[in-house]
Amino acid sequence: MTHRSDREFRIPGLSRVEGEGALNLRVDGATVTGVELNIYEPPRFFEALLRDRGYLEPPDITARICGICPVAYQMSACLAIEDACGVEVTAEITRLRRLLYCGEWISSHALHVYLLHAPDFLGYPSVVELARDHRAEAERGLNLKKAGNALLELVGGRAIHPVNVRVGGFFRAPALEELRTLARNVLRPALDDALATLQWVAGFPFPDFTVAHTLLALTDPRQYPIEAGRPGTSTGGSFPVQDFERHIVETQVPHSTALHASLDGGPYLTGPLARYTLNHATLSPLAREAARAAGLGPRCDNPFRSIVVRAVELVYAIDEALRLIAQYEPPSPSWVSVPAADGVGYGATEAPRGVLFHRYAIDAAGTVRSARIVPPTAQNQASIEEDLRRYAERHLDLDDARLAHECERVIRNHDPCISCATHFLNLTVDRR
Amino acid sequence: MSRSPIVVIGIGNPYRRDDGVGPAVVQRLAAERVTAAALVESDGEATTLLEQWQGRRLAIVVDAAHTPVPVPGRIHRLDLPFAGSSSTSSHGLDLGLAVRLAGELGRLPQRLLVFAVEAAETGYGCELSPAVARSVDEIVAELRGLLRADRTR
Repeated sequence: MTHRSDREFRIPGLSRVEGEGALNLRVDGATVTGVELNIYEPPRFFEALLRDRGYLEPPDITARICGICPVAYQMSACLAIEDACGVEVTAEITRLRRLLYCGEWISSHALHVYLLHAPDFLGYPSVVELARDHRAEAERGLNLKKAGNALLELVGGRAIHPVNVRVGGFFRAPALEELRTLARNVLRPALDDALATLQWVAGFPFPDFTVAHTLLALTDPRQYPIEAGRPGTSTGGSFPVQDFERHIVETQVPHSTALHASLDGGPYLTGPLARYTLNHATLSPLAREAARAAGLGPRCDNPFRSIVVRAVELVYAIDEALRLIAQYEPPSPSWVSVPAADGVGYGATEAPRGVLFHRYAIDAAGTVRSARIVPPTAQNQASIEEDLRRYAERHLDLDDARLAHECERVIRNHDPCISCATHFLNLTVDRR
Repeated sequence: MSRSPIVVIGIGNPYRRDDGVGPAVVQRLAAERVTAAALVESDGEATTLLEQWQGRRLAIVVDAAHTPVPVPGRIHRLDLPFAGSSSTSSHGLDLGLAVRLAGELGRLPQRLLVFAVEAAETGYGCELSPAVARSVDEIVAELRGLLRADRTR
């Protein structure tokens, strides 16, 4: 292997991430001189197109930002609009929202753990080759994804871009018997699958690599944060959701169509590692014990072990869904009235990939005057680049192809969602 | 009600013009009250595709396609084994990979027929470009014939 003093390479299309992005890495001697996570999907101007729309529309419009985490967009939008209008929904509606959100966590984490991330640890180029040798595990992953989708369909009306959510609650509350049947036939077996998943991924080989990022997650002393919480940081900071934009500042960078965010002036990480580290104490006893048995302490600084944290959250989301169903009383009515009011409202929830913030200004006639959306992946870009810089520098002895592969793994640790609106079958016609 | 042995899956985003060609075909068949097949609109997510076509005798997939030099509305008909391209789908797993994964897990339908329509316009909006709209007519007519022939087999 030759060792050149300067190298520059580009991964033009990152695989096994949500959306389309590229990576540029510049190396001079033993130093990585430039890392650019290049998100080149065109911006979609959702914040602009929300202006002048009706105040009840953002949950459905913003759900379209992502096919993987539409519930997160719906929930943050509902919270922000209800906040602007000075309305609080009932505890029963909040619990049903949490239940719906559990479905999204299960579905999204199962997708990432099995189909996108696990092949990295077992040395396969994709889940297809993994399935050839580990059929039972691949089937288990698909079953978990299906379980999440089934919960989304029952509570949300459909798995992708649910239609049952409205500002103030739900158009229809599911019947107790429907949920009990789902719990018995789908979620109970899924809990066993999730525990087996955790055991499986805990045995993967993990590079010895830790990064002490500043962390941001919602926090709640009563429960693991999903559909609500107060932003907290690993430096001991805590602030109300309405102060989010005082602490989180987004700036444009030339190499990305997604904004880069900073927390009080520095890079930071949101998502499962942050959520787990800041909220380990509020996991359910089952999930906490499963995490301990999987070798996780109360914090996790190794981004490669994020797959273990996601598996813990899979256990938790199913356990929590079962608990919510056991205590379920259909909210009646299924939604509360939210009359339009002149005001500004803020909402933040924990999307599978981290904190998702929405802010809306609404006038008395119910017209959206301005909108602001801060998604998790934009917040994590600077930290992903920092991981890449550190990890690549340790592995400069690898040839370009191998180094590129390792860098892709570093990116996939954070499950970036380079969100998407169109998807094409890329077709190559070989004419002879 | 028993599961239909045939499914028509329209993949795409109906809010991105020609990307919605698959859902447009499915909606047309639904409007014509076609009952000989299950009709499904999909965002193309691989695991859901597996669920939809598993155990079917025939799965028909209609999707928009990118080609280096597009001829809008041109229809490509692909039979198994379907050679998928590299994975650059927005969901990390494209139709080609879904087919290969289904193959590994024994979850392929007995026959998979893919209609891939070359797209012209993929900006915001619900209207198909004229050439792609004509391809919807053509595919719907072909599927009508195919389903009729299947019934009289």
